[in-house]
Amino acid sequence: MTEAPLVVRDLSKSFGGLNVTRSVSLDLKPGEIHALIGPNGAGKSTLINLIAGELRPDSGAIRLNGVDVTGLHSEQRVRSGLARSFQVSSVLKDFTVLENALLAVVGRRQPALNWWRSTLSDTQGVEEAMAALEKVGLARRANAKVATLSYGERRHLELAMALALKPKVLLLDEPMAGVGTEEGHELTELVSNLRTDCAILLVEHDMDVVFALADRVSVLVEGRMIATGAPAEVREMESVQHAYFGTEDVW
Amino acid sequence: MLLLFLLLAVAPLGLEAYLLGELTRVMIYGMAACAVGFAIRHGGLVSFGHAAFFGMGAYCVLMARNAGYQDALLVWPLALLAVAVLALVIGLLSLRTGGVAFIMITLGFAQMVYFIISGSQSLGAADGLPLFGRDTLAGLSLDAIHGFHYLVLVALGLVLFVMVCLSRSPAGLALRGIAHDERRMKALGYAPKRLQLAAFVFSAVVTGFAGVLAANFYQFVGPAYLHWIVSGELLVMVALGGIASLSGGLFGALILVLFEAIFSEYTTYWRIFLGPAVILSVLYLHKGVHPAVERLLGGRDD
Ligand SMILES: Nc1ncnc2c1ncn2[C@@H]1O[C@H](COP(=O)(O)OP(=O)(O)O)[C@@H](O)[C@H]1O
Ligand SMILES: [Mg+2]
Repeated sequence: MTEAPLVVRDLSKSFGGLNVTRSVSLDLKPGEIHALIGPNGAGKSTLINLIAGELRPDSGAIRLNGVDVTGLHSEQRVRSGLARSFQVSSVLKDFTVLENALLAVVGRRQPALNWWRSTLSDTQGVEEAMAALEKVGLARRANAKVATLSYGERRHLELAMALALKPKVLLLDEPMAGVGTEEGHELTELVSNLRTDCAILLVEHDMDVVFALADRVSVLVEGRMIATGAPAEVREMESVQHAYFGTEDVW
Repeated sequence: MLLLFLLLAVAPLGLEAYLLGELTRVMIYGMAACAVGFAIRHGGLVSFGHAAFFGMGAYCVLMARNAGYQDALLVWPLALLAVAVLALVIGLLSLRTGGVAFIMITLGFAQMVYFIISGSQSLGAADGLPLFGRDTLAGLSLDAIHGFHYLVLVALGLVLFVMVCLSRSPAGLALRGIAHDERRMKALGYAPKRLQLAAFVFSAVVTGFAGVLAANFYQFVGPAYLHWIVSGELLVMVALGGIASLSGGLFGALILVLFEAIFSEYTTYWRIFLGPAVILSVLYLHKGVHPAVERLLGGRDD
């Protein structure tokens, strides 16, 4: 049997005296949506940054499709099939929607970067970028400047760019943060459909969303992974209710 | 943009030699300023050390002359090669830093080059040396200002054409992304430093080319080419012209030379007027003079 797309083993990270990630282990199975929940400041974003390669762990290992990537830079991990979205939407605002998507398409093809031919004349690249935009319903806005998009549309674009990288493992850090209910539903639907393309690690606060999407749930509290399992199982665990929710009626 | 080129093209027909020379000068400094702006726009690299490349280009002309070579087809490519090597070394070391540190370290390297070359007796030391005539182009003389003016015009057009192509290429797009948000670009699979180094070397080579042309224009090479004031003035031109367009630096150079021509009639401290002009340009025109001019003319530019 081949190894899971993403394997995290005994990952630790501290900022000065603050142990933000404490010996965290995690597997992402093929085609699963794995939700990562935990109170604010639990270290969820830090864990995402560690897996994406933006932060160096103090100890532990990260394997992508059976290959140890612990020592690789973030851009090298992208080329090994890892993509992420950012919690604070960070699409490039002075560019058009299509240009943003193209940057992702071209980024995947590195390092064979063309210095001469116009990006827009690369029909295959444009096609791929448009396909990614199509998937998130932004194709008709392709030539709009990102600065003119609504916040929800930017979150969609953020997803499209991650998709354009054709990842095998996708890290989504609160992709629905700050959007209205309506758009939240749209994004939920969208993420659900991505399941067939890649394995997803999803940081999400909204429990309704977690239950609608997740195949498994892991709970992070003060840097420690205190539980992993099917959503219904995890919900029943006393330790989870105690440490994370304090009371039972949050659900 | 096209309008300006047209004006530059017909200028030799009507202008006296001195005024024509001023326009040639605008094109030469404009080329260097466009190069400085290119590195800012594509890569987010604010270099305060481009005088080193400008001067290096100029001194290569002098060194070639000392060695008995005077034809552009041989001397100029070698000069650009030398500038590229220098830029590669300075770039490799400077790109280990970013932001303000990058500005300071490029300045530092440029000062080193300044002191090394201005201390060299065979290169005229602190006084510099005259060239006695311009380089030839495949045997043709460039000593008449008209011919030289057209050569510079063609060179400038070529440089801007290359810049437009580069800026539209995937690498150019990626470099613009890097100027906006480096972390974001890494998450898309880009290795910023490598691309930035390439942009830096390209920018330096174009600046070196301007230095080669300047040495031929003045028919004199001295440490003033390498002085940090040159780096500063190039940045002022960029601030005046803006980086919203690739040719902003050219407009900045035009304004600077006009300022000098107009105000230096009245006072040697004409630069006093420059400060407010830069501030006004940045504050009110937002992205520099060039986009504002284009808006007035209803034109479009990249
Ligand atoms: N670069 C950093 N330097 C110091 N402390 C940090 C840094 N990044 C995060 N932290 C701290 O680590 C803890 C976890 O943060 P984070 O991973 O953002 O939590 P979450 O995403 O679960 O809300 C917080 O206490 C935060 O202040
Ligand atoms: Mg977070």
